[in-house]
Amino acid sequence: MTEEQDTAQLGCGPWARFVTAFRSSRTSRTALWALLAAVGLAVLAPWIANERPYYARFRDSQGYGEAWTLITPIAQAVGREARGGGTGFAREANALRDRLEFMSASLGEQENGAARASLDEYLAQLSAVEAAVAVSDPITAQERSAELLRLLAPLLGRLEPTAVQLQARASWPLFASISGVDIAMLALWIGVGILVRGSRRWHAGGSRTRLIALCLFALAAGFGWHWASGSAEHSNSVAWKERITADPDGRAVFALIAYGPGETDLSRALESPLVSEGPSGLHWCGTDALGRDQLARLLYAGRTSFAVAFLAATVILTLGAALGLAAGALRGAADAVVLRAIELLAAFPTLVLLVGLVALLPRDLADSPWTLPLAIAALGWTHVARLARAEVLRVSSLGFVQAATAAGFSRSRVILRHVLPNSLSPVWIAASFVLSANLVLESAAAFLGFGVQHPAPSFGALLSEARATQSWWLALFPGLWLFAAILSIHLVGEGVREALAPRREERAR
Amino acid sequence: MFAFGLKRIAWMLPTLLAATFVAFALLHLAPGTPIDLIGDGAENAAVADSASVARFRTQHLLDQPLWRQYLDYLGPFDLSPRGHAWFGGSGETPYGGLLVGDLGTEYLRPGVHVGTQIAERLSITLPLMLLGLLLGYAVGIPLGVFGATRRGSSVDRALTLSTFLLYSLPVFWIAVQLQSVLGRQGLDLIPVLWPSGDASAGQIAASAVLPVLCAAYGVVAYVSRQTRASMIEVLESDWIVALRARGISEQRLVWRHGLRNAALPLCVHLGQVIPALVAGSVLIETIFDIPGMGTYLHGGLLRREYDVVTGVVLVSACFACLGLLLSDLLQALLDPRIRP
Repeated sequence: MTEEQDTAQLGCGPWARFVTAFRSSRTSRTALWALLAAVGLAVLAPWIANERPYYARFRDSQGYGEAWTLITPIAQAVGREARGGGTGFAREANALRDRLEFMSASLGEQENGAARASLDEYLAQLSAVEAAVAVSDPITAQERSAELLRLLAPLLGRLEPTAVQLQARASWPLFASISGVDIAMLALWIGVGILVRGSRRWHAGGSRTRLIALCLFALAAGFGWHWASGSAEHSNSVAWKERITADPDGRAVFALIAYGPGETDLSRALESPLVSEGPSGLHWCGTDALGRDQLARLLYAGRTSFAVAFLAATVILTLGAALGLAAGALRGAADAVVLRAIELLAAFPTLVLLVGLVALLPRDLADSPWTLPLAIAALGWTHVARLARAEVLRVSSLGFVQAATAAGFSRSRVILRHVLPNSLSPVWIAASFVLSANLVLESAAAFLGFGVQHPAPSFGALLSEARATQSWWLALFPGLWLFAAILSIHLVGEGVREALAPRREERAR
Repeated sequence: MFAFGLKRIAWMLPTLLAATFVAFALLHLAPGTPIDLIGDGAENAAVADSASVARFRTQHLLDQPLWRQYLDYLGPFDLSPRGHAWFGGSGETPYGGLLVGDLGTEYLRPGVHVGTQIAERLSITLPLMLLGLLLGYAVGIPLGVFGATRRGSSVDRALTLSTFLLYSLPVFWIAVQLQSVLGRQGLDLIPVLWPSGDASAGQIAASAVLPVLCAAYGVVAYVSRQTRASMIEVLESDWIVALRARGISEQRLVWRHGLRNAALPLCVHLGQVIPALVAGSVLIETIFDIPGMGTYLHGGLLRREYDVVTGVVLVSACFACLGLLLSDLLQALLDPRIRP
């Protein structure tokens, strides 16, 4: 044993000993980094592959035209809602204001004096209607909204796309599409990376504080981003590339892979028969039959699959440990119920029951992204609970627990403070296998067509599209990616097992 | 031994009965009834108008509380309007349900019995699964023993690594990949889809090669890893040293004395291998278009046929329980100490 390890073993908690043991294996370290990288590709997917540019500066004649055509129906809706005093008023008024402000910003500074003036007048009128609705004054609101509709025709005439001069505007479309959840996940991922990198210093303890601080920071970052980027982006579905190339002076900075996961190549979609394209310089992993970039879909598939697997694993570990603890510590009726439940659920092949459960749910439940992870968790907790129960039984008979009981500690204190922390190591060993099993289950369910109903695909959905085709690249890349993820999880699991419970052969050495 | 087996089988029955309830409840508890699902799938014009919807609901007891549906499913009395006179039926079909071996009929093809369909399809699924299982054990055990006896050598390390890789390999990827690579035009090595319609025995055997291999490799990986681990433990024990000191041949030592003791944990794992095989068969059959129980389940799920899904789930639960039973019996057979 080296001197460094020696000092690490002295006067430090079980966590530090575990970290040292885990880090001493090169395979485990590499596997952990590989797993972090795989998760990172999923977390970073919208930054790596996106059909929106990071930054764009162009004359948005197409967007302007669309906003111009949409003003009439929205203004009519505003008038209707103002008269009815309906709840939808705020939403419609905001939509109208968004579009008017967008048009105002698109107009050139020098020209279009008349158009700008009437736009400002219209915005002032809209504010007046809003004010009237806000103080719930139906008569004024009705008058003002009638005025709003009367002003509409001259406004549309002045703002006609052919009559105005547009100026180039700078925008950050990719950033606008990032949600608070994305930011929170990013913060969490970076934080875990830093913690793992610097885990040498964890010997001093305090890891729990750091972990909690990290979670709080990620939460704050997510909410902060959510509030800061509050305004809704109304051009979500607009094809950015078309709009930018429509302006000869337009320029933009795209992400590394300038394709989104759902971006079809319309020129090819009409061809028949539909053929997919092999890997090329343009599409590194080829395209599917609709011309969608396979690499972009792959990155987004990782998001779905990992999200489901991690969520289900969290629920399984918590639920399994809690039920195992309850069964092992309380015994009696609780034990009998948990044991029977384990026995019954273990009587079914999980995949068969899972797809049956998910497929027979009504549409609205089946479409929810929470259904699949929760169904996986509901069927998969048995193994963890069995392990936890066995360990709780073993630990309960040990001397220190009896000493704690003899010292007169309350039963709940003995169970929660003495038994629980000491019976978690089988749960941690099982954690990675639970994670990989979830990944496989999710992909298998998606492969059979019962995965998360989401515009973004998952690994299983990608693989099922490759079935019975001769396009080898459709199956190869998602499969390799999934294989690598499962393999690294298994290797991390082996590392955790060896670090927590050294096998006989290792101990004998 | 006989008494032990009987006792074990008798113990299995209440578990299976409870399993029918769990499966039925899990699959039927979801709010919404099959008729809503069929209706909005618009797959069956016959149930589209409201009068026939109502008739369909009464016929299949869908307007009844869950416990009545379960009792009807369980049997032996048919509680539907055409069922036993005791329960207000017309007496046309007095008996029905699981206890008289009736798994119900399909909704969309009235008159087609789920039980007969499953039995027909099992005649394809069972041989494939069994072949996969046997092949898996036949290859996995020698590989594990081989690795354990040459522990630490480069061959052992290569074997350990490759079985670890195989263990992490998702079956639905490798099956699809093999299909797309071996199914290239002009490369008629092996059929990659099950032959439709009548096919000669040779054709069927040829198209069974890939599915069986796909079913077997996971078993090989699992079994060889377990064999190696338990064999290493056994070969280190004192009585092996004692036997070796008596001059017993190494062959006999490993294969007869060592393996017999190392096989005990393997039998325990049989109870886990069989459910995994059943789950794998759903994927494999879907990929290779094999008209077996797995594709029946898949089709039933897509058409939301409750009786089909419940039936297949129950049959696969039976297989899983049989696996547990088999592993217990084998353990008792191999280790006299377990026998009461």
